[in-house]
Parts: sequence; structure tokens; C-alpha cells
Amino acid sequence: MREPDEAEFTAVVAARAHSLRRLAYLMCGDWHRAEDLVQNVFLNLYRNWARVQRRDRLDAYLRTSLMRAAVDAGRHRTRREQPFGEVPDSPAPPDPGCEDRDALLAALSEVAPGQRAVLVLRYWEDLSVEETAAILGLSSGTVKSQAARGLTALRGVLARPAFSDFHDK
Amino acid sequence: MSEDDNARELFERLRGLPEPTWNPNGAELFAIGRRRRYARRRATVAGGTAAALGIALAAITVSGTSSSPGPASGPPTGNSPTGSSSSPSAPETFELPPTVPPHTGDERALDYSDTSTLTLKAGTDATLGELPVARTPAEERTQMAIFNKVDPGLNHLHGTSPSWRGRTVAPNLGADFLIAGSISYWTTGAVPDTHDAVTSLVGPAIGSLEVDIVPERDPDGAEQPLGNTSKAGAPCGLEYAASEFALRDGHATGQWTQCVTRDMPGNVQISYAERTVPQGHETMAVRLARTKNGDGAVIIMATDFTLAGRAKLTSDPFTGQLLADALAEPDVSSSLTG
Repeated sequence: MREPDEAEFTAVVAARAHSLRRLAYLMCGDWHRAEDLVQNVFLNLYRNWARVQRRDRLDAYLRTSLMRAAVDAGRHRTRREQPFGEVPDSPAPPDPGCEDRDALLAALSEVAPGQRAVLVLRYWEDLSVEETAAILGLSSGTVKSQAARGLTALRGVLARPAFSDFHDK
Repeated sequence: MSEDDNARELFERLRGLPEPTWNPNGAELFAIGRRRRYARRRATVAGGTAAALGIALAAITVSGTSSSPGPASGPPTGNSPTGSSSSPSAPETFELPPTVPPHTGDERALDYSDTSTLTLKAGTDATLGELPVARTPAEERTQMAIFNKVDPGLNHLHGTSPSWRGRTVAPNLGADFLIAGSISYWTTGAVPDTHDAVTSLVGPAIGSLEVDIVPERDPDGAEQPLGNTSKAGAPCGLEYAASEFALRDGHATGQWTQCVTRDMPGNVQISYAERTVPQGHETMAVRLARTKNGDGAVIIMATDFTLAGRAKLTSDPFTGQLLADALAEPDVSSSLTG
């Protein structure tokens, strides 16, 4: 089995880490956990390097590995991942116009992990039903039904009074 | 406008998300991946069980997520008898109960351990997830034998969080699981920052004692022996350990002492080497067992490294001779089952 070349591997990390982190953040809502997920994905990549390279499916592999890990993490909150409660998330640049985005992120976090993954891949990554199905290991029919249920759930959350500002826009 | 179009429009509002600064270290990930690869290859699937880095591999994923350093109460004092045994009714599941009862008495040191886990589901790509700390009875016996030898009063080993409790599981978890691993122990009592550039992923960057168990049997087919004595610059020729140490000091400039080796019955060889580098002192000891199933090993790595801004250790309590003696204990084995 061929081991990755260090320069090649680090180039892959540099080129894809940030986009994967954004994807992970949408799944977990925490930048630190998103970074952990992404780092683990790259460690998986190292181990499967030859197979991934051989099939020329690097990006598909990274997205698949990340999304499955994120879904698993969402389903199995472990001690290691216990939230800090009142401790604020990592510092991000101020963004005065972010209320809408924050509301949507908060609502998205309340959608079941599997449905959330479908929504993120379909509507954030803009992938097709078939591509989404391949990444999550689901049938196309399941992706469609999960997307529909996920959207219903998301809109249900956004319909709550706490999210009234979001609806006004 | 279709439902899909509406949904896309909804998600458009997420574009332009402000992001905190992040500089992923590809070289560091490369080094960790390399180390894990060796460990994982030798993880046992025993009717499916094991322990490891990706699991962590060996556990190297040490992310201190607690803000409260150390266990709620102090470690026990005095010598502990060797060889805690597991309950025959140990749970055969990874499900984490609402609260995990802490170990008591002799098993107390296991509460200080941190093992990450890797879940491999048959026929799928590996997904790295983190599960509750789990260990097999055989693994537990090995760990306890080592702890009781190198730090019987638990004067140096401190946990990362009181909420991380070890749990022993039966060795018949099902073929879908591969648990391989190692354990990391903080020796300073300090809890690393959750996302310290080094410690959140690599493991201890301060004084540490790490025990890696590399089982004999290799489910994927071993490609390189653990003990490659022709490897220049590696402690006792053990490239596995060398890569880990290199992560910690960033530039492996120190010269390892000559490997001290002793032969044991059953084709077992115990070796150790030490070296001093600008950041401190480090020691590696390995128990290498050559069996018909392949090479298996128990590796102990100890450092007293000090990084900028961290309190310096007064001394390195773990000498090569001490670690080698621990590896000669009768309960020490690279087998993860039984």
C-alpha cells in the first residue's frame, strides 16, 4: 500500500481544510468540534490514501468521511464532546447583520443529524440527490424523504415565536 | 418556485459565515497519520475487539475538554497490588450509560486514562468516531500492571477530567468493531488547553506517560514489522515510537542512547532507550513479542517536555530501566483478548 507523500498530503490539507470545516460547522454548530472532525477526516485519508488516490475520488471521500463522522457525532454525544454550557464558542469576527444566519443555524441544529446532513449536502453543497445518496450511503428515495422531513422540521423550528424575526425578513 | 429552490434560497442566507482563524497543520496530521497507520495495522478484530489509536489510536487524540483539572478527589496513596481483574459480567456494549460508576481501589488509575475509539463497520469506509472509554479485561490487566510498577502511589499520573471514566468491556463485541488504542496519561496534573495547537490532536506536549498496545494479529495484513532494527535514528529501531516523539519536539535532534535489550521467554524481547533534547528528556521502552500471528508490542513512551509558558517538571520519574521492568511484569501482554 502506498503511503502518501508528505508534500502531497499537506497540499490536500491546505486546499480543502477550510471548506470542510465550514461543512462540519453546519453539522455541529461549533468551530472547535468542526476542526476536530476535519482533522480526523484527514487522518482517515492518510490511512486510505492509496485506495482514494487509485479511484480518483478524493473530494468524494473527504465529504463522505466528514459527513458520516458528523452524523455519528451528532447521534453519539460522548463525554469527550460534552458541551461547555455557558462558555462561548470560539471567537469569530463580529458580524452585525448575522441575526438571520444565527437563527437559521440554531434552527438547523435542532434538525435530526441524518436529516441535517441531507439538507446541508443538498442545499448548501448543492449536490444532487444521487450524489447526496452516495455520500451518506442512502438510497435516492431515502434522501428525498429525508430532505422533505428535514425541511419540514427546519421550518417548524423557524415558525416558533423565538424565531419570529427570521420570518419577518 | 420549487421546494428545492426555496430550500436553496433559505441556505443562501448562511453564505458569508464569519469564521474564526484556523491554520490546519498538514505536516502534523501527516506525522500522526503515519504513526496511527502502524498501530492500526496490528489492531485485533477478535470476534471483534481491540484497542488503538484511532481509535485512537492509540489514543492519541487527547483533547482536554474539561475545565476542571484532575479528578475530584486525590489519587490513592501507597502501593496497589498488581493485576486488577475485570468482572465476568462486564457489559458487551459501547453504549454509554447516563453515569458511569468510577473505578474503585486498585482500578483507580484507569480513571485517569483517555482512550479514543475508531468504529469500523464492515463494508464501509472507516469513520472515526469517539466512543466512551472502553478496554478489554486483557488490556486492563496490562495497563494496571504497568501503572502499579511505574507509579504505585499514583503520584505522577493525573487525569484529564473527572468525567472521563474508564470502562471495561467484554472481548466479544462483534466483528464490526475494531478498537485499537493507546492511552495517554498526563503526569503534571495540568490540563491542556482544549484546542492547544499541539495537545488537542497530538497528545501530551507536556510531561506524559503513554502506553500503546499493538496486538499481534493484524486484520488488514501486516506490511512492516514493528521492530525494524535497521531504522536509523529511531529508539531501538522502532520507527513507530520515533514518529511520535518527533511530533512532540518538532525537531528530533537528540541522540538516542544505545538500545538496552533483554530477552524473555516466549520470543519476547524488552528494550529501552532514552535521550535528552532541548525541551527535556524522553524515554521509550518496548516489549516486542514475535508470534506466529505476527509481531505484537506494548510500548511505553514517557516525556518530561516543557513548552513555553508551562511549569517545568522537577524530574522525570520514568527511567528506561523502570519502564522495562514494568514491561516484564507477568500480566503484561500485547493481546487484547483473553
